[in-house]
Amino acid sequence: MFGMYSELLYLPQEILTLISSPPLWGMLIIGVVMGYVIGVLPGLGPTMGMALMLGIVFRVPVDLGLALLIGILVSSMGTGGITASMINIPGTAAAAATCMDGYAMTKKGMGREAVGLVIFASAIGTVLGIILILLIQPFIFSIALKFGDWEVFLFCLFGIMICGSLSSDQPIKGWIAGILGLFFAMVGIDEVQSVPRFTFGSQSLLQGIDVVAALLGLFGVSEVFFVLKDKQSYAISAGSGWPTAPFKTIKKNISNIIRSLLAGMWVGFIPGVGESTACWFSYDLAKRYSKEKGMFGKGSAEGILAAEVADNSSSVGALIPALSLGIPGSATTAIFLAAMFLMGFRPGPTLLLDSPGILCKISVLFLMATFMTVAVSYLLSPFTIKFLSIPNEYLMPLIAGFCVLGAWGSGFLVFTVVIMLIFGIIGFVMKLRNYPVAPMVLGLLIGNIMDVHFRRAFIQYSTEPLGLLMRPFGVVVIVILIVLFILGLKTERR
Amino acid sequence: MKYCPSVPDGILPHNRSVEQRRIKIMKINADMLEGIVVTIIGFIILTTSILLPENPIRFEGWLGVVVQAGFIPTILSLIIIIFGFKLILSNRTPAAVKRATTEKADRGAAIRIAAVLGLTTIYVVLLGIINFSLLSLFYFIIIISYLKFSEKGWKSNWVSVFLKIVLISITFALIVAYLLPYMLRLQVP
Repeated sequence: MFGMYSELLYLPQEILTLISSPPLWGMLIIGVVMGYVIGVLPGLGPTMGMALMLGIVFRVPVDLGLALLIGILVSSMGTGGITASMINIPGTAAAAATCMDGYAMTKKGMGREAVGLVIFASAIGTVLGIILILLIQPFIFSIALKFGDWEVFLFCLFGIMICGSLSSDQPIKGWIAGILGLFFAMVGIDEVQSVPRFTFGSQSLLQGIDVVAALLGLFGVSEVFFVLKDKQSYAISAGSGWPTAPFKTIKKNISNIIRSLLAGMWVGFIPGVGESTACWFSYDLAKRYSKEKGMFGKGSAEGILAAEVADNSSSVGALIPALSLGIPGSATTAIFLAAMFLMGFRPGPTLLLDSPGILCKISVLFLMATFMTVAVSYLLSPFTIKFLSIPNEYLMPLIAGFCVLGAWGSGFLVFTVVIMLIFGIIGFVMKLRNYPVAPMVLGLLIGNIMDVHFRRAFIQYSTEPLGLLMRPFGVVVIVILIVLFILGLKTERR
Repeated sequence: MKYCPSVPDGILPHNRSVEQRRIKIMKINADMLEGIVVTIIGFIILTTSILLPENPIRFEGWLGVVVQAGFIPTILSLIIIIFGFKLILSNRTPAAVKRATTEKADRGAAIRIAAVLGLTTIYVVLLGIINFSLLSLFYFIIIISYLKFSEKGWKSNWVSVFLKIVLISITFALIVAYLLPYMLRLQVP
């Protein structure tokens, strides 16, 4: 039992190393402030913010790169609800459910309380989520170590299926996006037998499609096009003053907080689904179990707490499949995973063996970023209205410039920047036609993993292929896949 | 499930205006076109997958097929083709007709996007040909000017607006072409 928690032995060392490093605090502050701006400004998002930094993180020391990314992630996830409460437009997609009660509370003259509850809920969701991950990680990694090639292949397929089902009201569109992502991932030299695939004679495509450039295109450039499609139309009302979070309200909502934490972690754990589903799932659960159902949508503190705790705990929960299997639980974790690969880590069942202490490092950084986010949010939220006044016609071209620089920085080839632009157009068209982008990102990241593990599994079981289909976990996942497919088709018909 | 070869009056309510019905039919046709495009993409992937070279190391029997580099892409392409057909057929159902909106496409938005896309494409194509800082400066000036001047209310003070745009563009160009590359020790194109 003690051996399973050997990773936690690195915790004191990591705490001391990280909190005593001034450059790390500096980088964390930069990340948190950037994340705050990204979180409150509608049209941006943590995925875009982190994707912009991808071309940068592998050029700085590992600790600083992780601090920057985690600062952006924690802060942007925690502050989207502030804008949702102030002007009824979520700063991030994951804060959509917060609009329901946050804005209603502001209209009743309780804007400070709404923002205070958002800040508190975001912090508690992240902190409790991290503690839970540290407690359950030995079990997760020991299960992951038992995964063979076939199980990894099926889990990837499960991820694409469920991501496609849940990220769109037309599951077929989600599945098409996921499959196209899988296809894009297979461009280049095949990892099993070095066969060039879909290169069309191009030397540049032999290395495959640059994931950083593709992500910058799908999340950065496509969002620039999408935001500029419409003229800025939201009306900005006055600021709210210093935020408050009444202790009495929090004490009354302890069971709601725990339920939302677990709901968020569970949704985050499912590959590719993401925070935007978690907030609605948790909001719905809170409404069902509430003794004051009628207050929901009219300024209920329960609703704000449920949405924000789940939104933040899901981004922590998404780390579980990402770190233990190398399969991202959400689009933001996909970027985080890409960054970890760039920094030389190998997320997967052997991560803790190859890089002991990494889970503790990430956990401590998350906790540091959370506390810093609370401080920054508290100080900056009264002035948030000024950020919201920045016109899109100034902000979006700057973001496009960052995307070009980021894509250039990842490959130092104009071809990489062209790939970014092509994926930007693809992402824009997808958004126009209501195709979700998250399954394509998931497909891009796990396509090669799926292909390699599938072929290796069959090579291993070449003498008794039926034995492959009879592996217990495989049977369970195949049944779930069939059920998901049938449910998805039924949803299409409605 | 009833499939309709065209959109008969039984599905669209009689009290809808002629214009709304026309827009709705156009939307349904756009959704069908989307299904056709997806199917074509599937066929393209299928063709290129089948034409992939064989593995250098061969296995006997069914294993030789399953472990080919083109096997998974072939299966994926077949799935896309099936989904493409499903999209085409499902856009004729009453549920899909109901889902189709009657909002007209915004011509202004289309022009704005075409302009932004065109300018960004030119920016990317000229990378490495023109000095990056100058290119970035011109890009910001032109695109911000276009976006700003496509709004109303600038004619009375266009000089000050333009000067503001130039100042902001210079700041942005300095950030993108000098500050960030210097901080990150990045060689610019």
